[in-house]
Amino acid sequence: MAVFEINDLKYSYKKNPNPVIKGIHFSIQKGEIFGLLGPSGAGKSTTQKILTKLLPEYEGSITFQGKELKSYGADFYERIGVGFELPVHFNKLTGLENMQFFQNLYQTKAPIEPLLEKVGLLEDKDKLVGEYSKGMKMRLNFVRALLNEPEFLFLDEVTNGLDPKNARIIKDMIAAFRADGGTVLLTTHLMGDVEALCDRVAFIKAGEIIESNTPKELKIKYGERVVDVEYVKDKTVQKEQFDLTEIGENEAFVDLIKTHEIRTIHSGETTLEDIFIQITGDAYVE
Amino acid sequence: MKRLVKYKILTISLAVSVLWMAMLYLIGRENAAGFVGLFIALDASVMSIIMLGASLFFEREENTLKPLLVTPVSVAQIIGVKVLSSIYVALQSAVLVSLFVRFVMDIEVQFVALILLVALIATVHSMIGFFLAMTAKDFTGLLVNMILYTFIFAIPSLLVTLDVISGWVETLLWISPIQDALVYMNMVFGVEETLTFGSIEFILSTLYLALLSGVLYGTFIHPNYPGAAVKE
Repeated sequence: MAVFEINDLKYSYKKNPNPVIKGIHFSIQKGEIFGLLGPSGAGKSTTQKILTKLLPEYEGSITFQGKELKSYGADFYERIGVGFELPVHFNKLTGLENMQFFQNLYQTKAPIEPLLEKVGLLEDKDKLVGEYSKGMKMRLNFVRALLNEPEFLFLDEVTNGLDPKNARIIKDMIAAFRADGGTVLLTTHLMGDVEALCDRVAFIKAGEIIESNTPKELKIKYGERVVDVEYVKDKTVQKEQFDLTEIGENEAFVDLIKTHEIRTIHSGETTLEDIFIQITGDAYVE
Repeated sequence: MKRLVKYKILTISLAVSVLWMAMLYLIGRENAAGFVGLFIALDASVMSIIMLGASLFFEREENTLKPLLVTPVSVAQIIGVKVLSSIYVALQSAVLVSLFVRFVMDIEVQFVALILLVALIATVHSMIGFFLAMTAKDFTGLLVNMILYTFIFAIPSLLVTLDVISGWVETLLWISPIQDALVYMNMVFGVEETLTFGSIEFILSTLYLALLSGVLYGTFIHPNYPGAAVKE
């Protein structure tokens, strides 16, 4: 069942006659991590703001759990968590005070200190957030999104500014959230995060969704059906390419594998980065 | 409350109250009664405008407005709490200064009227503060709006209070919330002799301020607050 069903969504900002979102359709299934990718200004943040009811005057239909989004009141926010792109804390309160402040606004309350411990902030909970590094603030952002034990997470560039170790911790927590039945809308530029987490992705450009599928299917669709083999011949490393179609019956390939020391074998599967550039026509910037 | 303490708003308000008390003491009992109302009126009005207006910009800079809008609290509750905090700060100052002038300088004070009227003054000026901030493009624009408001409404009121101008200008100034605040405080401290709390002018003026608050809130602040909060 779809958690979110978006049909013919259109949106224009008041002072701009040109629509920012031009009639997009997509759905987010329960228990999946859905990635929304696109260049800057494509409409990703606007889409997320609409789905979190920050921009209520849209055209088209959006349903959440089968009911029109516009019909929800404050109870909608009890069920969602939002991780913003930029730090969203009071700098003169401590990390713990910030979490307590926001958590007091909800009926359901997750234990704060275990969440802080998971993201490596427990020792710093009594420090002012103004003294936190950017990475620490982003980790606190993520904790803030989980304070009310939501069933749906909106995450915007959630690993932005994190070192690989802490980014891995956050990604593991997102994967665990999905394993527990949660659903995620992830907006990101980091293809590594997309490959690691997303069940399906949609590419948005200039307010339109131009491609949507699983990462694997996209790689197959946009990749080349070839195999690149690096092997050692005459003490030098050489490279040869073979057509993947009926590779098992390709005598030259089989002979090469049998008679030479093989260094690497790679399929012509493309990367999401290349797909991003190919589809949107823009180079993405990390 | 914690944020009022942590961001030193209560501390600064307390310091300003001490400054008013020191100035009143230096002015002397004979003249203090004429100035205490002025200090409290300016405190409740101008400080409310600055506090609510500037807070919108600083909270937008800290990105702490957006996360509030994606919680179960309503826009009305968010605005309501900010107005209540403004009332609290104004009352803290007003009550402290009034207690000082009552018990140290032996000046009569009508405390119930003081509390109710300071709350009304702080409320209407909080709405004005929101309005000035939400119609400004940036912080400089907010300062310009505040200066214009002060120039148009506060300075003429001060000139009337100091008897520099009078006549039809004084009558026209009844539309000025700051002028109303000054008159109210003069009534609280027994300086205003021509008006009473039951007079038609007082009732109309009070209704005007309440209506102004309601109109600003209902027609502009509440509908536009989410948009102003998520503006980047």
